[in-house]
Amino acid sequence: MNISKDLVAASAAPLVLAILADGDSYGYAIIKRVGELSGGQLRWTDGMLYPVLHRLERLGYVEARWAKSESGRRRRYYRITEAGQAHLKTQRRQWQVVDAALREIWMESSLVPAEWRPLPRRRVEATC
Amino acid sequence: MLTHDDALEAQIAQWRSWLRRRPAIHDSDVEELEGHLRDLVADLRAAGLAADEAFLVAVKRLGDLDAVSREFAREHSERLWKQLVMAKDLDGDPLRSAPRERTVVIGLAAAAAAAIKLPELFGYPHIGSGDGFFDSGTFYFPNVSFFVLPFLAGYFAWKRRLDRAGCLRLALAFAAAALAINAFPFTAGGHTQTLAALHLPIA
Repeated sequence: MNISKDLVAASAAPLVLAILADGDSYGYAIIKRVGELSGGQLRWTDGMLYPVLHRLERLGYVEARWAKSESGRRRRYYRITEAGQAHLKTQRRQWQVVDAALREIWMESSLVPAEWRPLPRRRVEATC
Repeated sequence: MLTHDDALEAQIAQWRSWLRRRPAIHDSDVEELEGHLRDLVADLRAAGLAADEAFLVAVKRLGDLDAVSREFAREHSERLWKQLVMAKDLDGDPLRSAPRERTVVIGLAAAAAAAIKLPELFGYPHIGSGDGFFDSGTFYFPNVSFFVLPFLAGYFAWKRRLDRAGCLRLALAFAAAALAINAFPFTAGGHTQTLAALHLPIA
């Protein structure tokens, strides 16, 4: 399944921040982690991750530092800041609202078999 | 014979030099992206791909350089003004190419100044004499654009790193235009000549 560009763009920052909240990381490892988390469904153009990371850095949500990797090359590691943690918290609340609303409508809609649907509210009220 | 690793290094070096030409992408970004490319190539080779196959797949995954560079430009919009004033050298240091650029510009300006005096050596009346510069019928009038445009074109050719074939085509176009304007039997001072002289620079 191809996830739409807008959705990928909107979810990029919270995903990156959530991954960094688990521990410091670098671009390539973040991309790999996104792949694992989404079962390979969420694919980014790898190069596009870096402008996102640099934006988060400019906004003060992450800090970056250069350090030597196992291979001896320099690598840029990112760490989430306190402001980043706070931003992640609000982002999580926003996504939960969206997710809950979508669940609600999809459970009520006719696309879902009747036995999966919760009881219509009006009938519940009538019995009370 | 080149080993696989040498060929891979050469390909990575070429990719890097392409990346460095983008003014929105700085050297540290190039280093970061190159690290990503190398990690990806290493993983793909570990999964069984040959070096050249791994390189192709990795480059594709990193994405279209134009699109990536646009994203960098959007994020680092403060870097864009540099694109307008400074040529970013292949070496990656914008300042290093500035003195060289100054030399080229001054050299071309001097050449243009010398060129406008050159016809006097061949017996054409000089600019200050009886016929004014813009009087039709003089040698200067129809040819005025040839004292400016070739040098301007030379500057852009240098700046854009035009290859030899491109330079040749450019020179041929100028030669053809010069030949046409001077060989065509205009009536001196006629409207046709005036029109042609005015439109030549545009063409």
